[in-house]
Amino acid sequence: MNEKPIRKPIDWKTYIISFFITALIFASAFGVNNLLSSKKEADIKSVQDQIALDILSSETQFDLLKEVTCKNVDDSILSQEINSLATKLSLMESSNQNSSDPELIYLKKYYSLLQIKDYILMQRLSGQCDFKPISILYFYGNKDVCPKCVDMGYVLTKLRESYPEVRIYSFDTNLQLSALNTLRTINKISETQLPAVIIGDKTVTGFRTYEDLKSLIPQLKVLDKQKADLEKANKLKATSSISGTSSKSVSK
Amino acid sequence: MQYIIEAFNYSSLFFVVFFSVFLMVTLIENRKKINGETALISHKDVSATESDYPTVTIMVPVFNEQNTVDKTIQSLLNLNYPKDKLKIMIVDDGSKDNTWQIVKKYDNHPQILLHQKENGGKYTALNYGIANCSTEMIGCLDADSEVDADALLHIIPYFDDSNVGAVTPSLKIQNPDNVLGLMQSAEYNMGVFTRKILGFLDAQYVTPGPFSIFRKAVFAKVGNYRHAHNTEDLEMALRLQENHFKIVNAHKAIVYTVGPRTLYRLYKQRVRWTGGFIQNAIDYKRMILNPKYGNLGMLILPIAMYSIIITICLLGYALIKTIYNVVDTYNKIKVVGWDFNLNAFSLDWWMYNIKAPTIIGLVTLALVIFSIWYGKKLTGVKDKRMIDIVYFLTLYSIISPLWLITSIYNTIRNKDASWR
Repeated sequence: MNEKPIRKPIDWKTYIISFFITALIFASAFGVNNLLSSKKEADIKSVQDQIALDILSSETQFDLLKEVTCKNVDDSILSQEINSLATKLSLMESSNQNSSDPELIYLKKYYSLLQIKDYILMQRLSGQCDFKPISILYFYGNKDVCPKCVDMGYVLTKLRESYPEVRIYSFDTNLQLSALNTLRTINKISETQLPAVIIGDKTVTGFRTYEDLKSLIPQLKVLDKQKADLEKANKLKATSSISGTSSKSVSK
Repeated sequence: MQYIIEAFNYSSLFFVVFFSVFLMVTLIENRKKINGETALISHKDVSATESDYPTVTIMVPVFNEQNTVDKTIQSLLNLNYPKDKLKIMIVDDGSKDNTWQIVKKYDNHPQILLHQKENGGKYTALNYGIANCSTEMIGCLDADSEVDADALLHIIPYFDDSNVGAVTPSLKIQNPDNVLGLMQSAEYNMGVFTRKILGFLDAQYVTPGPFSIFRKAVFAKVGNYRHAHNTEDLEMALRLQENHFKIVNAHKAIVYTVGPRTLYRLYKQRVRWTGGFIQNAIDYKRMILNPKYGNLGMLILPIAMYSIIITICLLGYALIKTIYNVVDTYNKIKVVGWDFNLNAFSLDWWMYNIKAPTIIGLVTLALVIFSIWYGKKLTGVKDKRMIDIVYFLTLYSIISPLWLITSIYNTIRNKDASWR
């Protein structure tokens, strides 16, 4: 055995290579992250553009027809993308820890404006034609000013899932947007009253359960009845087709 | 505050990935050596080269081991090694059960030496053995372990390098048949990989109790075993490293050990190991970040210490997040009931929050799975099971904080963990 054993010297090359590989893994991960985020943003932007186009088209169509007839007006004239966009934006908001992300704020502002325009168009339609879509205006704030807004959001999401026919327009009161402020002022919604829901001409402040909310919208009962009738009819149809098939096979 | 937590999480993640990558790069750099070592020791014709083999004593310190000691001795007697060059020394450390009666049957065996002493702890039994042996090499085998017949044959050639003071084996769990056993089996396979790489880096910090073999002269230079917070095998390795003796790993030398079968026993064992590591590392703090001790001082010891803190913090963070999500889900259910479609499975990529830490976590996971698989491959023992990896990845992260936290608490209170 040697008197002075020799220790293997540090191989700094291995450290440097490992550092660069690790940095590369991190850079790639952040690259993929950014790519996915910008894809999501681009996706939202394209949906928003689609909605803007839908609204412009509907307004033009309405302007052309309003003097003549209301018979071509039904809920297909309103953009169908509003609800799916709401879901995507809320997902993006919940996955983004930085709520002051300028890109997110821009998308939310754009979305709020589109909602207001859609709401105005819908109001004009329902005022002049015999067309009464169910709509809800929902004003919310961040957790500090409105701790119950999260729960109210769950209730409204469930309502949207259960009744896609209901047009829910949700507005973040923290957004600095003059059109939104005007909408708030018109409806007399102050920060202390959040969450606030406007259904038709009724303004409801504070948290409401799903059942409470349903009871405030009598049209939902009609929708429920229509759905039940449709289901019954479908069942009958299915039963008669089965018995028809079996009687055919018996006669064979 | 959020930014501080984020910064800590990312820097911790960077260290974890860096260390995993470092091990992989070292493996790639040394892959030819591994192949060379395997070829070098593939011969098994002992009788033809008998004179080349050094004399060896294997100590078996026993304390109340009546259930396992016989099997341990039998496995040693089955070692493929010149019989006249191998002694087996049983040191009964004052057993209160029938251990001594069981080992007495080997009284007249030419290879076996029986010693009995008053109970003083494992390290005293080892020192007793060292004092009473005169062979060139000396090793130890815990009485809950068994050796593969060729284990010693695989170890001895590494002593051809005169700087080598000790050689460690590959440890495997014996017949893992329950969830805890399989979890430990994957962990030990990862240990085989890590130990091999640390061997290349001159940075092994444990010479495991089961079948690490030492050059006897080493003890004359560095001294005998110490109590060392009930982890004398760890302290001895640090002492050898401090004195710049090489500790290498013989990956083909396989030792089977019985892993704790209950969570409580596993917890006790790991509290002893982790606590022992922390306290010995504190005792040897002069080595930490000291370039004189090479990779061990500059990377392995700091990372090993830091990893304990990282594990607790990251798992604590994950626990808080999980609690937050559970509360959130409970709240949702309370508000709108079970009948809602909010969390329904969706194929839409929009629904998945794929962020940078998720991707980095997946890369780290892949590296961990690779190291377990490579550890299995290194020993050459055929085992196609994958369920052990699943148990390890799912359970280990949940239960390891138990002993990590207790060990830190014990260190703060300056308390040593008990053996049993």
